[in-house]
Amino acid sequence: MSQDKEILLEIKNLKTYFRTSQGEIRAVDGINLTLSRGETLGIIGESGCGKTVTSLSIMRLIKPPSGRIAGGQVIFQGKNLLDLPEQAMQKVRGNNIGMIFQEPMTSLNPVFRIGEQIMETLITHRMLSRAEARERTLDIMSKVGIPSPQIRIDEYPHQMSGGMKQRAMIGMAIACNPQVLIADEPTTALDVTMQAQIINLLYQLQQEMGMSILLITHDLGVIAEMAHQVAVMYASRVVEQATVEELFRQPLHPYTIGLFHSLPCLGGRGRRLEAIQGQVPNPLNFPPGCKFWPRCSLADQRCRQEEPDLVQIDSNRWVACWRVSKAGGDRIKGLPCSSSRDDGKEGKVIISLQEDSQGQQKDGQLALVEGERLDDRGSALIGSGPYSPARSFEKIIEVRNLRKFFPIRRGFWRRTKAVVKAVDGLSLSINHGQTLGLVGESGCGKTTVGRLILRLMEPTSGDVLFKGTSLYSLKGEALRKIRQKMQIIFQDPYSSLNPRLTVGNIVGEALTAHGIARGRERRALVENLFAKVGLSPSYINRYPHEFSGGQRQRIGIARALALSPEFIVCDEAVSALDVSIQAQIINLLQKLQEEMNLSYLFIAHNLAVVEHISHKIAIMYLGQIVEQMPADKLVKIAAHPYTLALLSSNPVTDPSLRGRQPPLSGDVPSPINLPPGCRFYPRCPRAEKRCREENPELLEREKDHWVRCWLC
Amino acid sequence: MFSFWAKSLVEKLITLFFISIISFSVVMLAPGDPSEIDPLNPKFTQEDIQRLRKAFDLDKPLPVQYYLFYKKLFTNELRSYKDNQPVLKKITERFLNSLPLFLVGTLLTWCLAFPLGIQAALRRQSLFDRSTTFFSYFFISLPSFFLAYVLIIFIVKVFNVPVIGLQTFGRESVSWWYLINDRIWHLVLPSVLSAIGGIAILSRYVRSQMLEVIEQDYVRTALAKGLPPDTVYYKHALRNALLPFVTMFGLTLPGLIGGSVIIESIFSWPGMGRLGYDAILARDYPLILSLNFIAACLVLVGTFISDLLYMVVDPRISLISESKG
Ligand SMILES: Nc1ncnc2c1ncn2[C@@H]1O[C@H](COP(=O)(O)OP(=O)(O)OP(=O)(O)O)[C@@H](O)[C@H]1O
Ligand code: SF4
Ligand code: SF4
Ligand SMILES: [Mg+2]
Repeated sequence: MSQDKEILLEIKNLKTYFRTSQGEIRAVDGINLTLSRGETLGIIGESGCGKTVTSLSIMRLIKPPSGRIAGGQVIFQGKNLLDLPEQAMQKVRGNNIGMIFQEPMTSLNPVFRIGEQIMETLITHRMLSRAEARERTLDIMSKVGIPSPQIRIDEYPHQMSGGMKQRAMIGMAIACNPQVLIADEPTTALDVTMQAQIINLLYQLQQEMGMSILLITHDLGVIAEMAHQVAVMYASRVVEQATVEELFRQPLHPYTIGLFHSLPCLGGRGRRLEAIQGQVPNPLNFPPGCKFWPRCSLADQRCRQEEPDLVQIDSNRWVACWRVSKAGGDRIKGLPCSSSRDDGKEGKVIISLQEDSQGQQKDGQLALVEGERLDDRGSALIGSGPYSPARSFEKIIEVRNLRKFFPIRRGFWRRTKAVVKAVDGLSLSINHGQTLGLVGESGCGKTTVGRLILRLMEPTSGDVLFKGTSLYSLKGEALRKIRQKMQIIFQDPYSSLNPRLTVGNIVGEALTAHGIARGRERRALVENLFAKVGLSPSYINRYPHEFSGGQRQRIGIARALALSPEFIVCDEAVSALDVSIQAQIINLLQKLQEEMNLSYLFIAHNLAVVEHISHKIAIMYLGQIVEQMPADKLVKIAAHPYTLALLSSNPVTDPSLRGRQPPLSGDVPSPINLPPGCRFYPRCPRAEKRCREENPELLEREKDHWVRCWLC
Repeated sequence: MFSFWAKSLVEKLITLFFISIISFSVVMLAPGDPSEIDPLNPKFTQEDIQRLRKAFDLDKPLPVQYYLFYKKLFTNELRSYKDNQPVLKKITERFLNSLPLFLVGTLLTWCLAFPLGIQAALRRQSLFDRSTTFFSYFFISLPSFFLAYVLIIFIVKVFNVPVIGLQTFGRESVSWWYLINDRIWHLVLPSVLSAIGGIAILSRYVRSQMLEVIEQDYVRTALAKGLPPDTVYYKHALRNALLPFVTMFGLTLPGLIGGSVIIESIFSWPGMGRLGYDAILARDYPLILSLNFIAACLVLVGTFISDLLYMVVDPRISLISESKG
């Protein structure tokens, strides 16, 4: 926002409200943003803080009658877009301002060809004939990196992979060379390697076409890679805005600081995540005063009564917090995920950290908003000492040469035409009280492994031993007994809880079913479990819809713990959660592991999260483990080209590294009709002739480090 | 591609075969016997009954009866128990009477229900939407015979035209112009009546379908591209909203043979509905079973057409990729 840059889009005091049956939601409540020519403005914030509503308001796509833009201005090239007649606004959409959405799967119309959907924009805004538009579309498709556009132009969305669809969406948005591109979570639904490709594509397009990008995301890494300016949103307001370098050097608002500290980062094992307590407030009843105070450790009397405005603190920095000022004080500690943060240079802008004089009163005050206090117990219970991995060498789970093939039947006689080798010769072991992290892109067979280990599915061949007993030889009562010791936590905290049962019943169900406890006794056990996962026991008579995502995941964990299991499969258990909640759940899982000596199989696609929580990491590609090693050595000794690619696809929270070449191109190939030779061969940057002919074995390169690659 | 057709055809034939067995068994095993239709008639001796049973093959074992029945059906030798007329001829006659009623009724239903439903969805919560909602529920809950009588009285009183039957009785020798006019008048009222319920229900369904589709992400994408609202709603949204109705369209086909007993009775319209109803009362097995069989065929043809149309309108259901796999 320095003065010499030309301002292209300016949002002034924008307010967007929704009427609902329960009251008015102020989804965007007076925000100011400026986007300069050729720059990227990143908006970051957790779910529900108003990011999407902001972008839709700019495009005037807020739907009446429930939604309305209640005030403010959106000034684009000197005109207030909010005053334009609808017809003129149509000429702006897609022509001057293009937009990409989060879900490439649902954002393209399934019944029209990709080419048609791109051409349409050109025909509408550029008055091209169909033939001309088709020509242009082919150009655009190659520009956004869609291979063989001549063929793809006549395909339907369902024939393309997620990454390809997102490229098509981008093509559609940039078809008319817009001055502004709004990208609402453009990479959230994609795998890391694809995410790296899309970020790079946007970066290249920006360099080439000089457009400004409004980039909305909840991922600090994506911001670091793309943005010049960053606005942090919390509860419908912007709470901090700065240049990306400033923000990553030294976040100032307590919420921004909390976000940085919630984030597990590669190579940063062994520290506890400093989760922000509590959860984002419900927009129907925002707390009075600063909306962050129920979660803020610095909150004082004034914070609870008066809302701070966004004020300029420095030439490049705006903050909305009473306790951040230009006044002197101690410098806050360095950021966990940074490589260059602790350079000792003192920032000019300092946060004042006087002791909270009302420290004692705080609890009483907090109790006023009980709903928001739910999670505090959880974080209060978690000690703040460093996380100490348990030492144990006794195996609880041993998987031997497991295979699972799914036949694909086609044609008149439904003959097997092909097999999907979802899991193909996989062996691994998990020690007592330890966590094995299983990482890989979507479709590589992670979930199938988890289900096979729990015997929710029969394998094609191979065996799973639980404490030395073969699971697949067990039947009846013996199997039931062992099943009690093995539980699962799912990804989706919304759909995995039965909406018609109270959460108390959900958690206690298994206790009754296994004849362990009923009535008063069961109630006591359930209350105990609730306390253990950091939920108030008084909530047992409520229904799942009354809880937030993080709380529901806690309920899922309590349910898994009900039968005192020894082993739990966590299948993407934190993937759907916001970073601050994710940190709480990760801490909870670690605390429970220490207290109850649990063993986990932790399945996830986020390498940083897996590294943080695991003792051992296995990297999976197309049904096979390609590398396995102790988690603390991941960054140091990773050798397999695929692991290296995953590591460098992981967005780093360091803006000085932007513009990197994405390490991998292309999608994960389908596991049908795999090529002979190394499965990674078609995408491997180091592939040689031998790789094409023979699949390498998983070999122990040095102690505890297994790699499947000819060159390692 | 071919394998899909072949498979679908074989599947349908097998289904038809089982339907024929089941419907035959149900009718035959139901208590009562066609020969007992008039047991109190003193002229009906035991020999007469035997003779009748023999003539209708009723003395043979069931599987043989089954075989003979369908053989006769396919060779057009089947005759009604009641008046010994060829069954297919009777059906054709009535079918031709029912056809205009069905066509006009269906046409009215589909042509009106869609615009109404779409507009109601696009102008959600408007006066238009509220009033169509009100009238839909009003007509859905009103019994059709009641409405029929109200309308008949109204039309006869106001326009002074007779509306009962196929045409006005006893005026066969008047000018062709008068004749056409007369037929149309007779056709309009029963068609409208049979359409009203359909319009009320279908337009509700169209409205909710459309409402669901305009909330979809791809509609938002289309708006964000700057397309005019008409293109967004009538191209992007409508095409998707229509998908489920393609299935329904195939399923209206059996309506050809069903007809509405109530409407046909009120208007003394000699149509299919009445034919079936009377056949059941008279235990006219050949007629009942033939109607049943034709209805089954129509249902299967209807689903087949639906499958085909679905493939045309929904690219996700593609035979080519199915066989390529
Ligand atoms: N059509 C609507 N009707 C009512 N409330 C709405 C509507 N759209 C959004 N909201 C509310 O506005 C608030 C902000 O929503 P928004 O979608 O902008 O969040 P977001 O920051 O984009 O979150 P996410 O990261 O989940 O995409 C939320 O509380 C949401 O429930
Ligand atoms: S104003 Fe007070 S409560 Fe809000 S962020 Fe600053 S210190 Fe925390
Ligand atoms: S074996 Fe060859 S293709 Fe496979 S990962 Fe190693 S270098 Fe790449
Ligand atoms: Mg959003």
